[in-house]
Amino acid sequence: MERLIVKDSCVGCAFCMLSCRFDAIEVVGKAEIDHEKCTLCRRCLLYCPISALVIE
Amino acid sequence: MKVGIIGAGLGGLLSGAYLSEKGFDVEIFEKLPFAGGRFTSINYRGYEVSTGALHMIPHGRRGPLGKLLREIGCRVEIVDSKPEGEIFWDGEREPLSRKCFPWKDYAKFNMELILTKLKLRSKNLENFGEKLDRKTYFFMKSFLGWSFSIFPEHMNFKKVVPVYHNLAKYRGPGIPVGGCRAVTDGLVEVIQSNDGCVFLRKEVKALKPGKNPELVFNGDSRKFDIILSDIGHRLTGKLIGEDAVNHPPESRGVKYTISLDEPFVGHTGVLFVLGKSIAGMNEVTNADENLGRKHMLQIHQPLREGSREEILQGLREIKEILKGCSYEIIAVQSYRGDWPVNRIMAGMDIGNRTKYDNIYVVGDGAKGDDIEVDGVAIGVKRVVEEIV
Repeated sequence: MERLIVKDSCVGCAFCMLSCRFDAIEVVGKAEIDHEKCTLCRRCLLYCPISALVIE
Repeated sequence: MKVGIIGAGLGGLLSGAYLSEKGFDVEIFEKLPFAGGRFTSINYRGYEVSTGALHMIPHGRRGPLGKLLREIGCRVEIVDSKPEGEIFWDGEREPLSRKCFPWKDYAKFNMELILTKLKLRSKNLENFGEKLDRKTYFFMKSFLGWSFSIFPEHMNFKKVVPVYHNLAKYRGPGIPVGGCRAVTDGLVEVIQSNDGCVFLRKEVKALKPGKNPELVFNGDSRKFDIILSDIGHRLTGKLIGEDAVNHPPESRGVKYTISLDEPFVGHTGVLFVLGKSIAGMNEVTNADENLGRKHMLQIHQPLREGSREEILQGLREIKEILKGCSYEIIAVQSYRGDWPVNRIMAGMDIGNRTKYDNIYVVGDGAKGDDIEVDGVAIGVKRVVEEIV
């Protein structure tokens, strides 16, 4: 099953959280995904300035 | 003349707007879905959460950025902070004034200023600070943390001199009405009104230097007369395919955005927090109430490593300071690596030129001798005046 993965390169800028329409991301130093809420809509992938999010 | 700009951050947009006003053919390429980079905001739960540092211009209306914006014809109202600052020390708040610190410390500062100007020495600020009263030392530490996101040991006295003079000349901060986004959106408008283009979600994959430097994208490429890069020297070098040269360090930090039922700071200035990990805070909804559904407090803390522990310490301090207030933490945003507070640590800038005479670096990665976005404006001014 596909999942949204946060790479170690995440700096914690929280653009993904700010862009998420499903309240599925929390950030304190690094992004954490609530997979129950994540719909894999890929919006956060566009907002990540350093491409630290991937769907695998 | 065709100018290609990599990155629609403040540096890219300022240069683009200035050059488009002068009749240059400007195209800006931004990989994110919005323009403004680290000087805009994203509306989140009713708050304009800034993407980078704070909704603030270090020297307000009269400073280098305010002046450049007027020159470009970008209409943004900047509210100068009043009071400029306040300090929070030992549980007490007092307005920032000369009376806050012992006269002996002013004498030591002036003496150091003279010795530095005469090039007799340039002390590390941590060593200089050791001789000061504790309160003065902690103010210096908070000021550096707030303005540059660095610690005293990271900076030499020599680098304080131009900033000190600019502070004396232009004075303290201001808040743009509409936040950072009003500035960057205004610049996009200027560029578009001059038939320039800002392409979003268009990432530059490579930069080929030459008589007509070329930008390569996914599937196509374009040639220009001049390239400006707003992504710093290191990443620009990477696009060209050069090995990373000895690169000056970036500075790290974290910003907390907090919603409050009642104002905490209560004015448009900075509240410097002394003797803690967090450096200071401001409440921009006092300058523009549309920036938040309720009151929006933003707190900045410089980070040494960028670790979670440092952030948790900041959060504990915030809990203690806001005890008794009705508040909610909206966002915790940390900055390091290639998405830093300052792409180049203050005082370590290596200028706007590259080894190619038609490729320049603008923006945070190549600032002039000043704080944050006012430094960006000085760097941009240098480059565009050379080109025009």
